[in-house]
Amino acid sequence: MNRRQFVTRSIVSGLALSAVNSQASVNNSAQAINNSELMIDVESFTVSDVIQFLQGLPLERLVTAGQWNLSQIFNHAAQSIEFSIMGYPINKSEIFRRSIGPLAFQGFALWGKMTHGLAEGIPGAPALALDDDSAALQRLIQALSHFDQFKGQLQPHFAYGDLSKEEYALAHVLHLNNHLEEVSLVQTA
Amino acid sequence: MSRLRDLKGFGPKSEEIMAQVGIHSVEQFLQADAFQMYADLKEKVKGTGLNSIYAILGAQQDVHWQEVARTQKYEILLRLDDMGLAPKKASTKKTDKKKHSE
Repeated sequence: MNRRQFVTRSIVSGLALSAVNSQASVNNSAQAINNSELMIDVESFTVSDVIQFLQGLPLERLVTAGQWNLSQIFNHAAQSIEFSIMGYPINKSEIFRRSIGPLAFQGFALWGKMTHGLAEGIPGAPALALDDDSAALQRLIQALSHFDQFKGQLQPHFAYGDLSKEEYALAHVLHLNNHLEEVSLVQTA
Repeated sequence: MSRLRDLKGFGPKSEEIMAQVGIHSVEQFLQADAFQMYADLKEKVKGTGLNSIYAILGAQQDVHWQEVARTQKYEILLRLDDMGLAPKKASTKKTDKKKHSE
């Protein structure tokens, strides 16, 4: 079984989500979180786990190292999930979505990690609100909840093309993980 | 305004279609639940698609249906999904094309 098959199977079966290098679950109190690197384990998660992970994030202790602040990151991740339900504003060419795009996604899925411009918005998406971290996080949580419950046909990803729900869940988590690479927890005394 | 056809985005054809689900007046139309009207249309009028709910909401809100699609699509799809009426097939997915060499 290759890694992609494993990843997909893991999503379907649904296991747990963890913070890398963390000695404690993010579901514990903020004081218990001592990891400096926040990341979702792509080999074993359910969307519900991701929601729980996000609900446990102590916003007051998060700092970003990139060009975007927390509000922009969370709103951007939420936009992507919302677009998977209602359609992306601008898609890459059909040829791209049938060739390079799926190959890139397969590579990311096998690698368990994606890379992309961390200050690049989704083509055609509305400007990202940057002044309310809490509202942005709530939007992301709500978008994930909507995605999890949605039974209709998901729209093609603007770059990867058609994805199943399991593949989309993985794409969203890989995307979020990539942005979380720029987010760390500030230690409290 | 007394005729359905005078509502924003509506015309004689819309009036005919709404009559099929028992909506004959502007008053009836404005008081009815847009999503229930859409559900009734889906059941009774062949070819009813998402544009119909955009048109209904647009007429009720006095805005262009494309503006409804642009600004309210997400909420509309979630509501339709709850009702079991969200589209099940991707509209953009094309069937395999025949090879030119055949």
